[in-house]
Amino acid sequence: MNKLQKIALLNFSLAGTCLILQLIRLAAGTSLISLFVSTVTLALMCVMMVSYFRRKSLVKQGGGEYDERDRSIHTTAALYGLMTAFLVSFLTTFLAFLIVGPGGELEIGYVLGMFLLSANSFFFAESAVVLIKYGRRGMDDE
Amino acid sequence: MNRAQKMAWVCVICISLAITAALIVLLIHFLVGRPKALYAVAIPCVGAPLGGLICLFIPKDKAKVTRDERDLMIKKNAAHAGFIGAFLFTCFACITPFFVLGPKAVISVKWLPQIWFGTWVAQFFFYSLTIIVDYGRADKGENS
Repeated sequence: MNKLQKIALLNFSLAGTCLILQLIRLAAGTSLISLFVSTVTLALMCVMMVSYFRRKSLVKQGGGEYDERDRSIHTTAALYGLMTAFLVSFLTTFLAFLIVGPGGELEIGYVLGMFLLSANSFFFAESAVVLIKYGRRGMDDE
Repeated sequence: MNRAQKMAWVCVICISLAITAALIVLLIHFLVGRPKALYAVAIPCVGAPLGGLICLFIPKDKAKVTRDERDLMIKKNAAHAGFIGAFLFTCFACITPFFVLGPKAVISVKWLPQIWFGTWVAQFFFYSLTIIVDYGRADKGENS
């Protein structure tokens, strides 16, 4: 497992944790749990951002750790991640509209939560695709 | 100019015109104070499908080979840029009300479909714009 895979694995587990926390927040719904989950989610997202930029710095350094194949894998993964974020943002707005109803109102925090959820799903899908692609094609490297 | 470029131009022109029209109506709303003019934010949501509809009437390329490796690369790049644009729009649309209205405010749920349609229009717009820019760059020195 190379450094890029390790970073993807870290991001995958952190984004997975964030998504589970968001689901708990939706199920519980109390303000105290909401505040706790939001704080933890933001902290975990900061860690994910740091590891994402760590990967960028590895890419900039070049050398033997990042070649044409890695570039292709990461471009495809980013595309899948963005597509997932797009779909999640559609689903969350659509579901909220259906649940609340056309005449209803929504707390502004929920809109921010929707964005956090779609950002989380970007990291989740991106790292999942990186792990899957390396898993499929990286067998003969080891 | 190939079919993808023509479609991109149609989309960019339609969306740009729709956004300009929406901005003019919104300006009138803020100057004159007509409450119903606020629905003008929906105009770009009509402009984008209109562009898509016009694209259906653009004839297919007659050449034997209609796309090559470079075209595929440009389309992938454009899809990337389109989704990044859409993501940034979502970020802007979700975070701005929080800072403008305050953390305890509530918004009408009617704005949610608007946000999503706006995201979709942004994706369409940046996708088309990247196709135009990439072909424009790549076509230098060629007779197309």
